[in-house]
Amino acid sequence: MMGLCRRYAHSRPEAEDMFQEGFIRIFQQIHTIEQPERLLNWMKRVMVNTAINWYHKHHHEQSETDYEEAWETSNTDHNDILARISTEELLVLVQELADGYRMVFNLYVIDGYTHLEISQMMGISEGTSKSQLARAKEVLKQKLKKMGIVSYGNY
Amino acid sequence: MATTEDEWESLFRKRLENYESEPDEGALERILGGANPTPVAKPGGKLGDRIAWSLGVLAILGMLTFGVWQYQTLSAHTLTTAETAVAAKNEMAQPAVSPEAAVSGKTSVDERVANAAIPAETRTRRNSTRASKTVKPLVEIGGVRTAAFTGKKPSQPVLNQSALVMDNRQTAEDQVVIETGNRLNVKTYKTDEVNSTFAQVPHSTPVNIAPELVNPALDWRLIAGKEVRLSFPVGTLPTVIAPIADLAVADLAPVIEPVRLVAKPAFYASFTPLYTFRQVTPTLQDNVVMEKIRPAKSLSARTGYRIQAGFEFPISQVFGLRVSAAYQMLQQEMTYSARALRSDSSRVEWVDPQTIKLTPLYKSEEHHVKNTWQYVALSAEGRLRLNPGQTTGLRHYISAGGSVGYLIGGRSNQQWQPFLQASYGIERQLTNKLRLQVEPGILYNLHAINDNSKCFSVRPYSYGLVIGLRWQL
Repeated sequence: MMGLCRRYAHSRPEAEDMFQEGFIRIFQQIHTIEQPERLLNWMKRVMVNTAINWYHKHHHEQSETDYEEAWETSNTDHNDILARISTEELLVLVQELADGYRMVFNLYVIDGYTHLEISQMMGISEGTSKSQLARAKEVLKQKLKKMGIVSYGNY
Repeated sequence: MATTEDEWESLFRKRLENYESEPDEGALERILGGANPTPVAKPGGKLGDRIAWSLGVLAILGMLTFGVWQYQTLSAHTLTTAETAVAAKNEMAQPAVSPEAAVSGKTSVDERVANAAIPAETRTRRNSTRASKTVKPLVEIGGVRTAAFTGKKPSQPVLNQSALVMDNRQTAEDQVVIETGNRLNVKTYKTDEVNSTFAQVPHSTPVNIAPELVNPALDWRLIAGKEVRLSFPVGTLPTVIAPIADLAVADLAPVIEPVRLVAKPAFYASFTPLYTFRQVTPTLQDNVVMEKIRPAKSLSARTGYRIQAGFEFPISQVFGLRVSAAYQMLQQEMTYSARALRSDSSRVEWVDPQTIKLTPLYKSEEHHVKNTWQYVALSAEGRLRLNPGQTTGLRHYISAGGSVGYLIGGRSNQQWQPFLQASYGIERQLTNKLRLQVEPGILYNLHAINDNSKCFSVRPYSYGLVIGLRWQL
């Protein structure tokens, strides 16, 4: 659960606060669970909801969005690139994403929610979700490129 | 080697979905410290709430039952005693007996009172001897007997002077008859010795009453130098000493208690404008940023009124019970500013030749919300009079109680809303039955209410001035 919080949080202290708030919610609502065998999935869902609420509370007012990273980059082979970097380094890349991008990227790519579900959870339109995901991926690719890991062999 | 977007996403998912990280050491303590598990919700609410509700309902029902019982008891008892007391008063106010009654044998007022007092057996015997009374003129000492029934000892005996006069018209051979309830004792006196007779007070034992004891109306011209010995000075009224056996009459007589106040309910209706000066504090919301919250009206953030009508039962001279039905309306108007959900423009900045910075700009929008809550309620209040001995002028009292209201309009988490109310009242008499009541008071909702968007949640306490009319039934 802490790993999930770290993906959604901007930093480790923020992830710890999110983790604490999420578990408090779990303890308060654990009596409502109807299928104990799905406890882990339910806890993950509670944590994701906590992350979304956290985003609304603390990041939604940040109207400035760093669009400078949202430029177009060409598709390239990232299999090798991703394989070379550690998970911690990959996590840092995700954490450095803008809040909206990070949320949509985590929800769609890592946790497997659809754009429709994301739009309902985030209170945004489905198109916004798609565009933010596309931009998030572009930003990540760019960051990988900046780190010098990207192979330019195919350019 | 090119790769698709799906493969690229799959790589990320594999690397991150099972990513584990350890929380810091104090995380568990903080979680346990902040966790306050809510108890499992049971049908009907929490146990404490149900007990409180049950006690509240039982208290109101108890007050209602006690008030109705007390009212019925006092009403029945007071009705009987009041009728008896009124009859006794009327009889005492009349002359003890009229000459015509004495002559014609009509039952006098005192006789009727005595008939009511003595047993039927004695009364029958007495009636059987009435013929002799109708023949012989009698003088009755009605005042003495009335005193026996009322429990008061008169300062002077009531003498029927008209009977004396009539007695003077009798011949010298007339006899004085003293009768008792169960035996007729005839003691003859010459009218040159005594010119008046007294009818004996009915009692159970035969008593011969010496005329010098019971005959205050003597003809002083005739008794001078005669055998009747009088100890009181001439010219003053004698003191009548009742025979000891007459005390039995007092024992048989009904005891008339002092007249109590008749416990009649009073109808009352009131109107209360409600105000509050509490500022609204919004609840923290995820996606609504409220600012510049201010009431729509300068004086109050919330207004309303309460209309009440019911009955007031006097339990005692000090305490009374009010039971009424009420309609209450609370209205909240406020304005606040919130950021628009979508940006209406963007600010563009050149960071470098290849980078621009776009900043979306949001306009703040002002919102006006108006919420209304309407309740119908059943109210029960105790009313304590502060100056019970004062019969004129203003009456001061305090009242306190509770209401149970049901939400018929507006949105709230709780359909049932209990209220507490208290007031200090002043009452002024307008007519014989109509009184004006003015009560500054306070009303408090036990359950919090919130607006439609749940931007705030408060427990309103409202101030009001109760203006009511009380009509004595």
